Amino acid sequence: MTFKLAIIGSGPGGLSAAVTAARLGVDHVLLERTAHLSDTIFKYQKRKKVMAHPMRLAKLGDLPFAEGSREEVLGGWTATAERLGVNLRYNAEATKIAGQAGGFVITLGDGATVEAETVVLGIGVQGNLRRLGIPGEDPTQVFYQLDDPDELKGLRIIVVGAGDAGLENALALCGTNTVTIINRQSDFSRAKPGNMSDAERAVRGGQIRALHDSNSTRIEAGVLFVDTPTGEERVPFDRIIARLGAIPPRRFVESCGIRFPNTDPASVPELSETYESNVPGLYIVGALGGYTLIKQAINQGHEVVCRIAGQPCAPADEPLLLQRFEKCFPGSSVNDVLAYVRRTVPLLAGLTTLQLRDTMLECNLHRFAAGDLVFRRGDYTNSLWNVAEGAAAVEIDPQRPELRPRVEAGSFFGELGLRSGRRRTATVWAAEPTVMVEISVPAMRKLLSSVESVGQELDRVAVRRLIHTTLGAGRQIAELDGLIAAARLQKFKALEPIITEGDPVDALYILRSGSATISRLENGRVNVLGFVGAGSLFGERGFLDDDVRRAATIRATVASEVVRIEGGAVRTALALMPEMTRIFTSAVQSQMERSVRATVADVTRAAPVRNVSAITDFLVAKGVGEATNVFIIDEKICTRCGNCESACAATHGGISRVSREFGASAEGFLLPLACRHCETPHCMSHCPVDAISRMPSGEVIIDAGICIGCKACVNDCPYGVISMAELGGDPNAGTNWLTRMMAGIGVLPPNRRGDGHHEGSAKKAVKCDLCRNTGGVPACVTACPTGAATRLDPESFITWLREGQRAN
Amino acid sequence: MPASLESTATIHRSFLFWGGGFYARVSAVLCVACVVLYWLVRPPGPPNGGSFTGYTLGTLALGLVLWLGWFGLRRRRYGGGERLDEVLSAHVYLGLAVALVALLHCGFRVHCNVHSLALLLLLGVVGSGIFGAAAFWSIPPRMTGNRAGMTLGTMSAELATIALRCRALSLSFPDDIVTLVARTTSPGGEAGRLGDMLGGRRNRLRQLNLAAIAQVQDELLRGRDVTPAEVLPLVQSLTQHLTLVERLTSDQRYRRMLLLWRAIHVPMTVALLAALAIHVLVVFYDW
Repeated sequence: MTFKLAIIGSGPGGLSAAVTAARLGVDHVLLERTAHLSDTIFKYQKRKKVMAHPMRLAKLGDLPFAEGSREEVLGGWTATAERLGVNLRYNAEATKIAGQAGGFVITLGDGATVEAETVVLGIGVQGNLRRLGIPGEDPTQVFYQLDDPDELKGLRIIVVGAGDAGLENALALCGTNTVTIINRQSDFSRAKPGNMSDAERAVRGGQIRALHDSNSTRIEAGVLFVDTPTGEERVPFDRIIARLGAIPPRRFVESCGIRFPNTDPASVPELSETYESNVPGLYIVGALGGYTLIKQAINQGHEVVCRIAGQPCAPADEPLLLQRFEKCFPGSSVNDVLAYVRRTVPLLAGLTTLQLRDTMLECNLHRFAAGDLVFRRGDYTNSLWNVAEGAAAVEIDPQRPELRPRVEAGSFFGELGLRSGRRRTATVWAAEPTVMVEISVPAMRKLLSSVESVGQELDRVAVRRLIHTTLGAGRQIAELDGLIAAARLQKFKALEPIITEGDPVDALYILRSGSATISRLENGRVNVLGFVGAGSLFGERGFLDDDVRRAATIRATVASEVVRIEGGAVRTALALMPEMTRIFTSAVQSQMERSVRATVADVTRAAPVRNVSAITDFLVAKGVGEATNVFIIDEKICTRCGNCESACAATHGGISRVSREFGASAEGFLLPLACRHCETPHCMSHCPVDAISRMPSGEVIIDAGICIGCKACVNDCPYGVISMAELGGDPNAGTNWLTRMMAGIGVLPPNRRGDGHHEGSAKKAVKCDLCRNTGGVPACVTACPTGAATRLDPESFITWLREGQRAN
Repeated sequence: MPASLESTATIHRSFLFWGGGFYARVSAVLCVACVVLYWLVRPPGPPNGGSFTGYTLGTLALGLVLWLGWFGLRRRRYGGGERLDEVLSAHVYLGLAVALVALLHCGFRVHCNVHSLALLLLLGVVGSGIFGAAAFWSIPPRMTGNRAGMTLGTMSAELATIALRCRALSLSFPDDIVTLVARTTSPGGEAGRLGDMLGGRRNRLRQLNLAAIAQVQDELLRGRDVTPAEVLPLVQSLTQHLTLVERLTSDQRYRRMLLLWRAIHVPMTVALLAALAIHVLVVFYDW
């Protein structure tokens, strides 16, 4: 007998399809390979919490699904399948599907056949787990699954992979084992938000150690070698659990006549909008089609069967998207708008339909009339704007109204906020009737970590724009094509040299992010001459002189990224554009001036001086290389009176943002624990409410009104300068004029409140704000009675060290 | 960048040289002017506070004392934008000047009354102030050198480790040495606070430590049942202990010196203000 519908696989996709078929009275059979439902979920670790993401998405159909334990979810499904009379066959493995729409023949493992008019394939990607594939891998030590976390106690466990499975395994094990996570990405944003925040909390609390931007290279004698941004690390282990995702069972799927778009083993089959494969009548739902969330599979199974039964239903996200699109495109269908976005926004062109729908749920569409404001210089917003049609005009400098470049349709703007969180540096408005797509920061982060083409496009545009700003000198960007074509991005680890003294001059560089020192070997000592900040040009000198060797070493102080432009293209450009020579010359000139002054000072100085290279090394090791404003105390003048800390507390509600006690010192200089207002602020990277931003004058500020006290920034800051405090107390509580005059107890030490804990008040993140609200002149510096404290940029400090220090 | 507070030529410059010694020059000019006045405008009899010069200098001295006393309030006003090192620089140099002005005012004559009491208190305040300024100048570099890049926390932790090591190494020695080493490395003090402040404890600790070292070395010299291999580590550890204790006690002494002079300077200022009030009232009452 021929069924109307055969469903292969009883995971959420197939089971949902079967349940809907049973409800609608469609003649069906559900074929399951094993002796239980949903084998992949059945194999989850015991008592694993199954999440129902995405939360805002409705669930279609009768299969129940809410957040709960693995056991609860499976129990609910089994009960529903029984109650609705699903035609379920266990131990029925499909080994081949032949035929076409109207007459498919499914061959089972025992040789029996099943015939059906349509087939829904919901077999998932189980059984094709990605392997580590590194030398030294041993099946007694490396596992790809975790059945019962409680069975492992007191072991050193490495979890490779920071997707949902990896994080869930790590969280389940970290209570009774020592767990390290190796993550290829730079954060946990690949996983669901719940897993991500749980894992981040565990890392902050020291229960899990995480190595980000890291790859495993080999295993030797119980030690895993990992390539990290700061060098190679050796991680000893008792067991490795690798959760690296899974690959579709390609051969079986292709044998059914289904096509894959390319030979990449991770690619998914081509599917229509209704989840039909290139074989008419053969539908694919769930993970096999690339849709890994349970709720998505359930909805798909339901949608497909509704269509087959002749009662098509709208996709679950349809009403949400329609609501979003209505203002800009009243009356248009969701599909029309999506097609429009795909056509007009190149950044989103590489997304699958589902990724696009998912992203658009977090985007805003805007329709502007000519002259409408998009954002103003100094605004706190940092979303990314795409011009779909029309054009935007940008006012870079209010003093120069003639400089008003346009951003044409197909381009984007506003991406600086993604990296350094600076407030808007320009005012933008619509130059003509314009439609724009605004992508929020969380959506951008998700895209960057899951869709490679988005990161590539951003990089491509960043390279073009950096070259235009640094080398363009008023030219149109098209004239710089030669340079752009010869440019590529390169990453460097902390303390890795980018240019080495004595090397041939073969490239020009622009520092995209991070910071670097300029140094030379003189008299056997390494002399630091200065710093290179993000956005700066370097390596230009070699193109001006006739020397063909590098005159200095440029070394990254923190993990940095550069744009490297091939020397040949640079020389061609120099010949064509004489103004570029002027840019190079002025950069070189100021550097030479500094160098000459420093050398003269070295030679004419009579008194013994501090060991400048030792101090510079110390400062660079403490991360001062990426600082824009650092607090340094000269310990040869400091009387340890603590007035700096008292002043900070007094001007900040009793909470000092500076700690001398926990600072580091060397060569007579103390670097107290205080915010350095880094060039690329680490604290900004994961703030969920974007409470941290940078002022036009450079200071990085946490807005206490927006802060929710989640401590993500506390964890991200590598220098430990952010603390948590209840704000709004009285710093003078517990003192009177007499005690204050006689013993100076006017201000309480940091974080100790004289007036007790405030009920109901939450702790917020606090750090140095360069006294922005109290006059802009740092109180710690003005309160120092002996002049020992100073706050300045590192470059000026190094200059002072080399030239102007008194032999005090 | 917020507007830089200064060019780099003036960062980390001691308050004594603020503005290239600007207030020293101001103070010097003031002193010279007062001396010139004192020399040129003389009263008929001996110089005294009741003459024209006397009243002028007296008023000036009073004004200076009040301005100098105001520093006590200014140093606790934070966030105002005025730099404390400039204010302190002025305070120190004008404080020197006020001593001269007061002496010129009274014609260098001292009696046994409240007026001279005011003078003596003023000189006491200035004297303690000079001690304070000298301390601020000379102690920080010595303190930094003494700390040798360590923090108090690391030194204390290191001391605890060395103390344990000394005691462990001493166990194979005769009992009297074990006791001696234990006393040397025990953290508890033996004398009262006064003795501490005057350096008594420091000397006692040093003697104890040196005695321990000497006695341990003695063991070897007397040919007792110990080898150099046993003696040397203990002697080294005890020496390290001594060095660290010296560092810590020096650090303690430096910190005290940086603070304690104010225990005289501030109360004496209060007394001075009271005495001055009486002095001025009496003078006007006597009119």
